[in-house]
Amino acid sequence: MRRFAAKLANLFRSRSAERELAREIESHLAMLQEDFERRGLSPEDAKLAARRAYGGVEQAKELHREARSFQWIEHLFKDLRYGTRSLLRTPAFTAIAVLALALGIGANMALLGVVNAVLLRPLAYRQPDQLVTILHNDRGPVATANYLDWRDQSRSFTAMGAADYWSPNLRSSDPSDSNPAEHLYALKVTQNLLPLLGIEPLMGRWFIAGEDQDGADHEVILSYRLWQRRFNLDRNVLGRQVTLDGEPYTVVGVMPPAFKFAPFWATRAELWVPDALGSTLHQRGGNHLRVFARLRPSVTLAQARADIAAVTGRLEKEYPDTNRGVVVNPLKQTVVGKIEEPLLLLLGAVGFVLLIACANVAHMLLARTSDRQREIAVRVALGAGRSRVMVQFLTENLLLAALGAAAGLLLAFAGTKTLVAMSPAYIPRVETVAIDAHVG
Amino acid sequence: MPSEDAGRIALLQGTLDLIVLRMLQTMGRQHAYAIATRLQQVSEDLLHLNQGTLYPALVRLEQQGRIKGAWGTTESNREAKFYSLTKAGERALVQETLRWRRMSGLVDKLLSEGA
Repeated sequence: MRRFAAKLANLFRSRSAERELAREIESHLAMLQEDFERRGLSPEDAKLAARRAYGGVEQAKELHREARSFQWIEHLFKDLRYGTRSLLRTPAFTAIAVLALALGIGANMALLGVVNAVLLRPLAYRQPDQLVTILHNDRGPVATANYLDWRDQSRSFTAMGAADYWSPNLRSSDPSDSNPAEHLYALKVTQNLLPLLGIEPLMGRWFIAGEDQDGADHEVILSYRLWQRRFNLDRNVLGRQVTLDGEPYTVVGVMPPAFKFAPFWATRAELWVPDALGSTLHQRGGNHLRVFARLRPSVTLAQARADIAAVTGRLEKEYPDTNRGVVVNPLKQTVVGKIEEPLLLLLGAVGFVLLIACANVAHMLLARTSDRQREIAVRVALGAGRSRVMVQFLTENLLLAALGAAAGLLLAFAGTKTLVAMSPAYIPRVETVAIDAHVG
Repeated sequence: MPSEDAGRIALLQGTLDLIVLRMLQTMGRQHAYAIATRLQQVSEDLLHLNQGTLYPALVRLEQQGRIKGAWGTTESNREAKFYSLTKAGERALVQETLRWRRMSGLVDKLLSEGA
């Protein structure tokens, strides 16, 4: 404990400790020399003999420093200073190495950010693993009458709902509202679809039973962004009237900021209205609905598939050519299905880019080190041990790596924005891409 | 290096501290040069020791509070740093000597009994 304090103190008085050591060694050498002179050596020979008897002065000093203080801290600062200087001395080398590392690291982080958001992170619904889609041939829409029969005849699901794409013109019916009319993306949903997802509205309520009947279906739930953009986050928006395609709708709810639906098609939907299904109730052609369902807790995906296969098999007999190729898939698979493979492929490619960047930098460092043999030799002659030189070079390289990583991080932030902005609309969930601690 | 000269003994880690303590006890207040010279005389050159290697031991002991250094002048009127044993140093010497005796006794026993 006492020694620890002394060592710590010596960090701050290293100059005076150094002076005292030099003084002590000098007197030691002088006495040695006198001794040798008394034994009959000439002053020059005595001086040399004294040096020999003492051993390497610089090595002894280094040992002394190690014993007296936390040398590694002093060394670290020295090495960092020295490393900075040595990197600045060869700006071209440093710039190229940092750039190579930054490109490798930046590209990897940006893409990892995408992979994390699109593939890894669970869907933002309650117990998303229970959610499935039931569609023709993976992604194809479904006819109303078929949906209704599946819903009524299957037994594997706690709830089944459907959604249809709609793009109405929005106009405020309030004459004082100066916002221009706007073309929007929307979904018509069955009354039970939003509760099925398990996300509560931020304000207001779901559609209630009966609101998906013809004539009663003129309510609307807003997305947070639309609320923000069009209504300035006005809390009194509930109960207000808006006009969609010329018909009045009453605002009954606002969803939380993070809520997205649907996740794989019509991804830009900003408002939701009830779907009365009215005129299409008995249609088995004219497929237009996407069907979503939540598995019962005890039911496996395989059981649900068998259930739907039995139901559609019966219907197919009754109404030929209407119930072929119906597939139950986890919602997540439907969302990321098409994009998963190319994205992972891209990630692999970018990984190789980083490997190549690392190999290049390592090569450049190697070439530089052989240029620095002289410098190393001088350091060793001046009392630096083998490990000391290694630590010094390691510090320098870590400095280089840190610079590369920092530049890569900047690049990743910029790259992610560009990537998201450039990404085609069919990449699901891309708007949630971000560089976070997960990615780093 | 032991391989350099088979007759000489490489110093065991830690034993130098004990030797320095003992020397300061018998010789009283001394500077590093006198300790080094005396060490060479006693060991009849059996110990292979660069005199510079004494310094880390001295600084270690001083930081542990077992010895204390102060500047003074030699008989030949040269300035030098003189080290002397502290109370803590005396106690440490007793303990370390005991430990050393036990250790060397054990090694002796093992060697003579042929284990």
